Amino acid sequence: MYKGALTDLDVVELRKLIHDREVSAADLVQQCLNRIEETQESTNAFVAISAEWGLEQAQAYDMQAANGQFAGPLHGIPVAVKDNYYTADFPTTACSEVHKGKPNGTDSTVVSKLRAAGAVIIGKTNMHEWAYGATNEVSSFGKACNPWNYDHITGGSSGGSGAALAARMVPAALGSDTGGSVRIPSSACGVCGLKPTFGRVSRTGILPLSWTLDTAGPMARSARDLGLLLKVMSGEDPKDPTTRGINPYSQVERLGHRVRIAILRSDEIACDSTVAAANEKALKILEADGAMIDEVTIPGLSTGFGAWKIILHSEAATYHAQFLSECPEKYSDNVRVQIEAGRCLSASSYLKAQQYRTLLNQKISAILECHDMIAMPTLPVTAPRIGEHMLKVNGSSITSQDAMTSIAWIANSCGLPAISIPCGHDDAGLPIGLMLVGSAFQESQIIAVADRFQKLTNWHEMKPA
Amino acid sequence: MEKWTKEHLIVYRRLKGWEVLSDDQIDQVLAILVVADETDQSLDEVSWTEPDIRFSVASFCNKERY
Repeated sequence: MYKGALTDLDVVELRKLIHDREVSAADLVQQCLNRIEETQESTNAFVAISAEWGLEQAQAYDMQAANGQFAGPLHGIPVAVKDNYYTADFPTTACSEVHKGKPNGTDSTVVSKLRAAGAVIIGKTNMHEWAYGATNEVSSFGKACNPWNYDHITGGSSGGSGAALAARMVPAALGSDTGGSVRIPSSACGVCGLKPTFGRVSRTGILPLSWTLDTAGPMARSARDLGLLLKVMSGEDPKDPTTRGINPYSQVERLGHRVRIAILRSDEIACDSTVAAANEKALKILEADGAMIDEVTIPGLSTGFGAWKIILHSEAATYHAQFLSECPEKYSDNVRVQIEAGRCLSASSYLKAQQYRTLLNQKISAILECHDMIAMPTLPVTAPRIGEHMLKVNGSSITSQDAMTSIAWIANSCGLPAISIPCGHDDAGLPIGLMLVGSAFQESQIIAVADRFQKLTNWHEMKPA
Repeated sequence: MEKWTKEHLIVYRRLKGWEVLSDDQIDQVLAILVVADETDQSLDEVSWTEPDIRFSVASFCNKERY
């Protein structure tokens, strides 16, 4: 029997141990519950936990395994779910007072797929209210805190999932990503996150923020785990007409050629020098391993960032119109003012912003015709202190909200897949993320390169003290 | 797009019959709208060519997009 701490292992390792009956699912769930008990008060990562039900499910899976039966690739693996995914057995609130209540009795498509694959849904994680913010300081359950330093934010909006992974409470979690909400907390908390191609994963049963930007994505502690989770989560769903089943992801593969990586250089994005240096070092490692590295620029990113905000606020205001008229007092100031601004934007502004998306997509597609992926930092800074709402980055003042989203939005605007993986730490020991943006429905390439990087380095294995 | 001012915003909201916001909330809404104004002006300066303007939300979600 395996004697080490199961909570330090990734899903691929745990899966093998469970399959080989070296480890029981019940032991794994119990160790996760123990970690949750030890770290929940400090991190506030979870907003709902079902210890008894989780253990019951795990024991049922152990009985199946004893008979040589396995539910699927996630047999007995505990997974935490962001609180904007419908789950039959937990309330779904998007961490908002508006949606407080009982479970609605249904699972989102993604949660159904995870359960069918054998996952044990252990609880719901904290998030920025309505996913409408990237700091996770605003939540009806209270702020989430970064396990690397509790005085710092987790990033958001999937901050609880990021904290739960970093604190070794669970080996896998779900997030949603409208402008970086999977990748931002992944970078800030030193874990891995994948925003799939728009249309790769169903959004049915996930409370929306912005219909043309929202994407559901996995979070974990290794790139190979993201691939495994993506395989389970993805596929065409008749209930979500934007989904497509093309080019299904199968497994981490070696690329059949020397990978061509374009590094994004831009005067329009301010980036802290420590973050930039860690990213450069990471790309040097990949270059030494055989990657061809090139530099590219994408003019017009400042306008694109503004256009992304117009789309976000317009769509969010439309979704929230009825709730806002019925119960405005249930919104935090932080979220309400953004919705109120969205109500004032014109249809002309919105459509011009959508047009600009096409233009930006054409520029990026041109780069991806001769490169496999584009590399850039996930965040321009490491996790700011809680309450630090204005930052200085290379001498420029920027809000923490803008800093968090200032690079990640690009992939949402263009509907492209993007992965964030840990690639260093700053002087204070806070994690730094590297982001790789790939071509549509080519997740296999960015996962393969991220997996290769993790075979050459151990940043993803480091954990908070 | 007409440029937003605080007075304009207050009057617009009153005409719409929307709930009164605090002075601080109005300032925060205005800050977002000022950024949107600037972007809108930048978008007006973009030189569009025929293929660029075919875009619509429907085409973004269209299954044939890729």
